[in-house]
Amino acid sequence: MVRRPLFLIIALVLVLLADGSAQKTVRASADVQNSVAADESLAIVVNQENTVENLAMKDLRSIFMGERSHWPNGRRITLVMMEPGQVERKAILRDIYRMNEADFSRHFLQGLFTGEVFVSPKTLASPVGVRKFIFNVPGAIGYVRASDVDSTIKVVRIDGRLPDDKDYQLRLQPHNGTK
Amino acid sequence: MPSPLAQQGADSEQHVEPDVSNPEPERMDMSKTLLRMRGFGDVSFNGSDQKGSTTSFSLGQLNLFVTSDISEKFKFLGEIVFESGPDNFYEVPSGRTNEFGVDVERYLLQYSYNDYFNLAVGRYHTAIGFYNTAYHHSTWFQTTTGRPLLFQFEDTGGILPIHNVGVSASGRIPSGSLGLHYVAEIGNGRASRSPLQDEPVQNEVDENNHKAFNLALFARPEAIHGLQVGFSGYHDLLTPLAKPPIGETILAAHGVYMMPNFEWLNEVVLVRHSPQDGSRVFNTTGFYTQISKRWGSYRPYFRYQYINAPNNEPIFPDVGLRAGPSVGLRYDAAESVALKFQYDYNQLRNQPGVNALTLQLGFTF
Repeated sequence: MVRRPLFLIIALVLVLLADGSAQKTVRASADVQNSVAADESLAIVVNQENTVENLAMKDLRSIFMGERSHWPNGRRITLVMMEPGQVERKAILRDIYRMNEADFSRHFLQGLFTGEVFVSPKTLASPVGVRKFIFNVPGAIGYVRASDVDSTIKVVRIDGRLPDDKDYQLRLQPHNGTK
Repeated sequence: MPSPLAQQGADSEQHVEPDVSNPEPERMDMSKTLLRMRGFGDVSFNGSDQKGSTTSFSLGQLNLFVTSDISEKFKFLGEIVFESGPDNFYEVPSGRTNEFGVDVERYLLQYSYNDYFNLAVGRYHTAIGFYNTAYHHSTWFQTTTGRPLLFQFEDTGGILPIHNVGVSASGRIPSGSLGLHYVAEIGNGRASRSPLQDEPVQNEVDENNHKAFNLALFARPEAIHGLQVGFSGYHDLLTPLAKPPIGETILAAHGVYMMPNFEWLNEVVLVRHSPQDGSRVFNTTGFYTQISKRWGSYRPYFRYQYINAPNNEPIFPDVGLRAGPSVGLRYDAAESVALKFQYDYNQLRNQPGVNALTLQLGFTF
């Protein structure tokens, strides 16, 4: 009578251990990937039709915060974010928003609630999705790793600098510990 | 072979042929209109030493916040609120105790032309001061368990025209780092209390041809992120039955500093009622200050508030003096759930002061 529940408990523990081990492997793989890309830059990208070539960091922040809702040509700005947990998103939250996930969610929910933010950010899972969305939406702005940029989207200079430039500010990891 | 990025760097200076080796990405259907809904609610347990009051569990407002992107320039925004208990206009209850009712608190079609000009038509929260357009009908957003006395809703005895039906224009004012914004509103305004009506917000018929107008200006200077200072001026004409018309002017000023970990809100309001028969003018003043700081999931707060209306005030003679501190603690148990515990002391004119305790669970879903 006692053996059956005991067997079930042992089986459950083994399943959990196996699951934990698998998660560790996935995490380790992700860590390797992240460390390889530690010094990689994040490119701010827009639709190819967008005439904006350069944005000051303060203007970029204003756009990402939802405080500016239109491009100079009158087209509505649609912000594209990657899903929570993605390294690119963490870097944007750190360097542009200076917020954690909870504060970010609250900021946009309250912005929509007050009507000050006209549309909430579009959230996409992968760089391919981001590229595809920005290609299709003339007023879209988002970010991808510099290595994920292709000719379907346009990179905007930030404070006059491109992601390959030495003093470019947006990187996956804090730049020389300055952040 | 140059990287796409390097190639784009060159593109920004001179136009070159697109990379034909890259297949064109798939086109997406962007024409869908999406209805989004978010909810807010709260449940409280409260009690006070006021004569005749009982300790009670209370259901707060159940708020369904609905938005829809109709097109690139048009958007719908609505706030549909289910609330229990009788409405209480100027301390005259209407409706049955414990019964739920539905109010459409906001009902707006918004048009966004650019950052400098946005138009909204429908029922909105009047841009008097800061609090009224910052928190609307969500207790979860608010640090405290409830709104300051100054900004109580009309149906809970509030003295300001919190809601209005009409047109509102808003936007930025080109002002560089000063960050100036404007809000200009014209609407039906609030009904006078005579005859006593079920609904003080004039949703369908205005009691006179005079329209209420409101102009608000505020600044969010770049140099101090989180700071907002501003003022507003509101004017309407109230026409109570068997009394001369009464001019209503409301002047408000605010200075708030809001950061994720720290907030300090300060607002002052003057409500001026001037009967047009040339008799005396009645001034009601009010202010509140609220400060809080977050440590992890905990946010202790303090608020002091004050309203002083003359005893013979023609529109709200029942308000009198109300003043006192509130202290409390907000604990964010999860990203969308907040537990608040608050103590209030309310000093009243010619009556004993009231001590009250509230435990509230506020949430969004």
